Amino acid sequence: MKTTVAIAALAVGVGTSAYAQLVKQDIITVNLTAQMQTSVSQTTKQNAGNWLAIDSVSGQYQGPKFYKTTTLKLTQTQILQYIGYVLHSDAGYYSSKANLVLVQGELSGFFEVSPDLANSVAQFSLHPKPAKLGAVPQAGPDGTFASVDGDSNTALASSGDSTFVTLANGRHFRLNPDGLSSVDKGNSPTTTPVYQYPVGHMQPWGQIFVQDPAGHGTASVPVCDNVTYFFALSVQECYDCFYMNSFVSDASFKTVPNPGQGPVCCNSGTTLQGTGVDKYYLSLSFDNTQNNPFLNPTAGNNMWVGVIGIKANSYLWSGKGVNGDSITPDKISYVSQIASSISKDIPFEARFTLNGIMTYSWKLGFINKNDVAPDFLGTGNYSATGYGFIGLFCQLLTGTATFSERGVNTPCCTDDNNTLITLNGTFTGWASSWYGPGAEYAPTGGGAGTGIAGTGYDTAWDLAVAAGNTLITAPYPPYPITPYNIGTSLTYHEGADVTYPANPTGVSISGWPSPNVVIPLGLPVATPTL
Amino acid sequence: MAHFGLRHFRNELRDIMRPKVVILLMTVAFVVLGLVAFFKGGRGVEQTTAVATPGAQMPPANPKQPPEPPHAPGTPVVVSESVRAALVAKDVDEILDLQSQVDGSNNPQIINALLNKLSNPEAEVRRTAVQVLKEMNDTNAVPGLQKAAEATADPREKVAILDAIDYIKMPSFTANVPPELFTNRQDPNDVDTNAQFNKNFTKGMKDVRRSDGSQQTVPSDTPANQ
Repeated sequence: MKTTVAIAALAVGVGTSAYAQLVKQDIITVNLTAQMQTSVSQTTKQNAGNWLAIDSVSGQYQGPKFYKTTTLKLTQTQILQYIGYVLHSDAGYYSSKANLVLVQGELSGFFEVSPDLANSVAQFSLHPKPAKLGAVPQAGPDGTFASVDGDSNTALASSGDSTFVTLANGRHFRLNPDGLSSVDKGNSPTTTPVYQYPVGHMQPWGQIFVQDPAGHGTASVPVCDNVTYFFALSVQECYDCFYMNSFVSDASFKTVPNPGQGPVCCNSGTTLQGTGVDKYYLSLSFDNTQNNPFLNPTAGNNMWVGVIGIKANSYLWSGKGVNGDSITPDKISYVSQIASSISKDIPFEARFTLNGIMTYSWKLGFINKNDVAPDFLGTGNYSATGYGFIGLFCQLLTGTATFSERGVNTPCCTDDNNTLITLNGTFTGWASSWYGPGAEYAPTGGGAGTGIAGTGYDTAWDLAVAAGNTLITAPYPPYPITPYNIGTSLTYHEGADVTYPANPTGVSISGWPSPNVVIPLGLPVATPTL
Repeated sequence: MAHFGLRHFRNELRDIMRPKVVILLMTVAFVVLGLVAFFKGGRGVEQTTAVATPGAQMPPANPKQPPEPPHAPGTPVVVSESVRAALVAKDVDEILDLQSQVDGSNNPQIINALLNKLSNPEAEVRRTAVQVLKEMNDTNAVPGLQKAAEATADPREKVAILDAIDYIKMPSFTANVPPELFTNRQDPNDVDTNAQFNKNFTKGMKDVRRSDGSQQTVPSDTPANQ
């Protein structure tokens, strides 16, 4: 009897242990309040009369005298509807149990990536087009990456070489020369040089998914749609400043013996643990219209991912839709009546940008005992204000977004079955579904004779790679820099690179996601015209 | 005799290990383990509630000022700052755990659990509970929040609760959208929105190849950059 009970207890224990392997995932909740105009009127009735009417007192034409606003809320529920409307042609595609999640997310400024991961290259495929757009397939990012990084995912907890925690080192781009050890000092390299990267160039990191355990998914195999390209995040950096370049932090670290329960390959004997609060200035944009270059199928736009956004930018096509885009003044033809049916209602059109401070409270520790390394776990509170073009109305936004990190059993961004991927014997992991809106997709390097299109260098990182001075395996690099705005980045870091996004040929877009050169729509854009 | 004893023991063991008996024993084992877990959890709650004394609802007027130490009527309980911080962190973690368990079908239970947290003596715990209730955005939480607002003397906390109520009751952008506008499938050639002609984009193409670090070869019609 005792034996049986013991066996049963053991079985339970083993089962529990196996099931308890947790993977960090952030649930993103949004609580925004939007103020919008609801009436401009000649009378106290809503939207009554014409834009100009003869004033009964002056006898002159005058504009409307009564103006009203209203306040609505915008939560993650609406964002899921905006995504579903474009991605699945149905705003109700996702169930009420669906969540917006950040997978493999790293919100701390002390997070850094390795050259292997930084040198990953976005893969292009030919995306089919509907007949109405000419039916000629068009190349664009297909959501995969080619990489020498062999880790299954990019999270710190399971990263052998792709990501790591680093501390401030007194530099903003270059490797710390003190860390170059004997090589730097001209001595024989009797010890392995330790190259220390600057901090604050990668946060926040990860991919944004819709995870739905009901509706079209199940609890064990939830819907996991990668919707990263609907979003754009950017972080402000500064240089020649004291301390770190993009964030401030109240934190304390300690070096502790590594429990040694991870793989033999990756146990360095000691590891960092700690607690802290990081803060940085973050801009967060969402756009499900064709003003988003990733959703714009215009011929020649090499950033199109194969999904067609809402035609709020309609200068290339006639027919229904909004004959305006909120960028070019007076694209909507004039109608005397204030209330008109000049365009159809598109309630699920949404484009907005928030600006504010992300406050990330974290603990750095082992999520599972047998993880390769400690990972940050905490909560990001983003308090922001912003503006938007939502449901064809201009909006003023205030509110918060929360990134709540927890360990979960069934995360997104592994593969369809939420297990690690093996394709043709090749371990692919994270690279099978990854977009990098924080970088430029335009291929760089290459040129004549290389079989690679593109010869431009769009970022400081591209330049450094082209110069061959970023690889830590090379001899002492004269000007090594840290990975910056790399192809796999979720976040664009503003500071050293002045041009973003690249000038996609044949398409006119506003500066997106950040205020930039606004190009009048409909004009040739080979040479941007202000 | 010893041999007989051993054989007798084996026979007894074989009897014991019959399938029905094994299943019965395993069931009993699970029940016992469940009871152990239940009582262990129950003790955890008792420990928490022993500190989180009812009646200590009033938060400090100044949020930077440490709140009064929780105490039962007539029997002051002294806890160190570190213990208090740990208890607060535990309660906050519990709230966030509750939030992570929201799946659309268990809202009533989670709302009740969160509303109970509003009687916690620690302001941070109450503040987190209000924030999570606001983020849940469920109108079923409104009556409980209203009661909490009435019971709260701290003006800042009252305002925070009333703000949460206002937000929950506020209509959303898409609350009154007619069903016919939810889809755009009427016209398969409609270029306004995606028409489901490329099903690979969400999870990426599956012909992933791991490169040796060299640059990719892009399709021939990819325009040159710049």
